[in-house]
Amino acid sequence: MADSPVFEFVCGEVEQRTSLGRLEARGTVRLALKEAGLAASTVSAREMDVVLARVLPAALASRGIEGGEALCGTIRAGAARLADAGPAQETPETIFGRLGR
Amino acid sequence: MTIVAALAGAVAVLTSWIVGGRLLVLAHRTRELPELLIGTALLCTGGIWNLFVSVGRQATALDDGTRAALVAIGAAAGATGMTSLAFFNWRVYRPGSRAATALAAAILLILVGAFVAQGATRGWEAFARTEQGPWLFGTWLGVGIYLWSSVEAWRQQRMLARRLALGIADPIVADRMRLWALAMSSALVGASVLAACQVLGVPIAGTAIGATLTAVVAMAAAGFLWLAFLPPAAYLARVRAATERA
Repeated sequence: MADSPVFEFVCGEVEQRTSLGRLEARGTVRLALKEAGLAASTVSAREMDVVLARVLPAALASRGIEGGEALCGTIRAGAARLADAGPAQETPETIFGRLGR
Repeated sequence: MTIVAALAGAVAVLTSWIVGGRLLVLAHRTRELPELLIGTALLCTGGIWNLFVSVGRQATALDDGTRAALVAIGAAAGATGMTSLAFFNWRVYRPGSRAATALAAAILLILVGAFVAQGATRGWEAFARTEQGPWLFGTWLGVGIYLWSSVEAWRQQRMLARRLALGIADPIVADRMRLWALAMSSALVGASVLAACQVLGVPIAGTAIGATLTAVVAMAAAGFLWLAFLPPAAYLARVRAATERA
């Protein structure tokens, strides 16, 4: 299953702006998403914004990357410009939300 | 205890009819597959399978032909319901997974095979009298499907709880997932004990153990399903208030 555009964008930014390699950058973002209860394939721009603000800075710090908060702030500004088309497929949350209507 | 169990069973059957029916009405409105699958699963397993097989097994005053017909209709509904639940698991939790697609398709084929084999070999009269034959495999497959449902629902519930802590999940939806996980876990416990007793030859129908198991599991599952899909406004307000306090 393909990863979401905002996940790809954030991974690219982390890779470019830190000393982390491609796999490390993707792994770090993926773990941050997991900690937030999200999946790389379905994460939306709105959800990623919260992860960048509240989860990823600590994840970067744990890998020895300094200035994670400022870095994530810069990435947030870029990610905010991505159109949030929403996940390509329905998530379990969307479906269970509909089942109560 | 038998009367309590019978009442609990009746409440569970009624709940399956009402909740399952409501989800099928929703499916008619939205034209979406998940509501069709979960509605069919609840209606066929809780509403028809349990009812028809219980009557067919326990109503010894009926003639053998009627009992066999009741059990066979119940088993057909059970196969339909369990298959729907398996495809619900695939569609909701793992729509892009080939393994989940293959598993759901395999469940369909095995259930159809067990149903046909029961009719062709020992027959449904024998199942109504002794609960023996190839259809026993259907009971164990039910255990497997409820296990799959429980694991997926609890996994999603944990993810939703994490999102809820970050303020990016709806507390009502997170609670609905928790209740669905609890309902599936209740069904798993009930189906596991029933399957084990069937294999060991321990009689369930009309016994104290069977009555207690039916009463506890049926009431628990009915309560969880009702709160998940037909929650009273006061319950929803309580869930929201609890989330705000946290």
